[in-house]
Amino acid sequence: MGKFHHTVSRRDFMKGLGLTAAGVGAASVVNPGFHDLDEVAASPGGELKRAWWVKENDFGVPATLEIDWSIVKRRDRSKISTFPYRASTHPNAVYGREHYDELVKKTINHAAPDWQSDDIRDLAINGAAGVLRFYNYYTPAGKTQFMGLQKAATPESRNMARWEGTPEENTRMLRQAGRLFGASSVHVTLMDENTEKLIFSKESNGKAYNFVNDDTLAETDSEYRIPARFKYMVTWTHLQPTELTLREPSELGRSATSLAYTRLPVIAAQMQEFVAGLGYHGINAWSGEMAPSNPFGALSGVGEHSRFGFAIITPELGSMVRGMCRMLTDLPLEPTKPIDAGISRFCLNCATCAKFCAFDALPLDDPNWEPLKESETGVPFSPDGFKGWRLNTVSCSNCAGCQAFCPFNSSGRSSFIHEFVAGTSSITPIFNGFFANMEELMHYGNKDPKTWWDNEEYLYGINPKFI
Amino acid sequence: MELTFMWIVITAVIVLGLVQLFSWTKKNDAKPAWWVWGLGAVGLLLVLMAIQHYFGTIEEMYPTAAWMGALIFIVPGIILMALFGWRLSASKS
Repeated sequence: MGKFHHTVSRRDFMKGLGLTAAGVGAASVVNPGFHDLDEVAASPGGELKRAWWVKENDFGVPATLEIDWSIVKRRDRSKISTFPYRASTHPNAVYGREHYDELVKKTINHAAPDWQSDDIRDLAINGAAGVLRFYNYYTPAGKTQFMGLQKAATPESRNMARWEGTPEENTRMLRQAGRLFGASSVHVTLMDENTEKLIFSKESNGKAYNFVNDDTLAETDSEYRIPARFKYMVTWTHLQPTELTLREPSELGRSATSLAYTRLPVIAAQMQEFVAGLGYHGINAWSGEMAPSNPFGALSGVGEHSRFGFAIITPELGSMVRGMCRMLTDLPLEPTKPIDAGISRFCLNCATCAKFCAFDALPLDDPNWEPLKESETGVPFSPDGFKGWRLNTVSCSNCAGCQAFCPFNSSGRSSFIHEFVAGTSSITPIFNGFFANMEELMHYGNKDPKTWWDNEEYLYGINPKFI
Repeated sequence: MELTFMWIVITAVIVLGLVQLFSWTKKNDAKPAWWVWGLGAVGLLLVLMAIQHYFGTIEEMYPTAAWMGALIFIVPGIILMALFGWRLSASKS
């Protein structure tokens, strides 16, 4: 590495300019860590930049999510129905399916009292946006998510040595690559005896995930064999088109979800192939197989556990994220720390999403240790081992309306007030109830779907304030 | 771009206003108490916050939040500035 760097150091450069020693000293205070011009040029790439009000906690210990690892056990994915609403005979699910349009309209009418229904152009947008959602690039190529597309040239095929970098460099490098591909925030969890419990024992197709002592990564008809060197779980999010997210749960607004799910498999494949191109391997788990996303999002500091139950909320992107990917890799990485940005505490006093959920799927109660009981709710699987909120998956229609109401969607936007509120609530929760009430009173949250057609859309649908 | 231009104009107006204010106090030998200056500074800050919030929130396309928030900041801002003006004029010799 070093031999490719320029030989002109910053000191020589400054001397050459004839600056005084005082000037050099002042420059050192501003940029104390740089050793040469290449470092100056390369330093911002891949750095994790967060607001001052986002505090970090110890590795593996989310500040705002209590986990009892003695309760957490490896689950069989083939026995878990993620969204039983679609086929459940429970009265809530049946009522939701039969009255879906009416319930969704009620939510949208909060911002747009005259809104009746999506018209054909709204439906056409969502149809087009989602035409390639979750597109399976693997099966037509005769490959699997586990082993990857294996299309990118590897160091062996280039007759070159594989990439060797420090874990810190590698994490920054992966984050930089991820941003290029469209992964909103790349974070890392170190796999240990606790986090390994989050890996499903079996996939939906019945294949077992086995951690093995030998060094060969392999996929057979009955199992996935994962060598011990796969110690790093990479997580990243996808920012949904921002203005459309605020128009959920209309079909027009739901095209935000469709677009995120369309971009997801492409970005996942690119991340996997990038790692392969470096001479390592990434095991993709974006389809909800291998491991749940929420705990890894909280453990790696992508965001915080929230009242949504199944989804985290991030300080930078609020609830506008969708389809958080997981990729287990043997590329040595520096883990990222869990965060405390006051999000979970805000959820405690807020509950705006739950109040506006027309399907009564989001919890209005406080965080607790108890999974939902099937005898009471009809929910066949509810996760345990943590103190938090749980989504009623029998009632949840996956309409995504809750996303439009989250106050954290305002983070980083144009008015100073959002930064002020986020900063204040990270320091003290005493104003959270007031802030949540003001959010509602001032008609933040969802927007009239019809207005989307009258405002120029951002490129890729993403407000640049969020990136 | 439009907002940047607006802030340049606002900054210029504030600078000119301050120059006028200081020359007026000198000319009239006005010596207000320290807290009178505090009233004026906080009042001006609140008015600026109202402007930033209003245009920022209009950009976010939340018109109700824009005018409501602006009102919350501008009303106390104007009251404080009026108090400042009153106490300042009362302090001239």
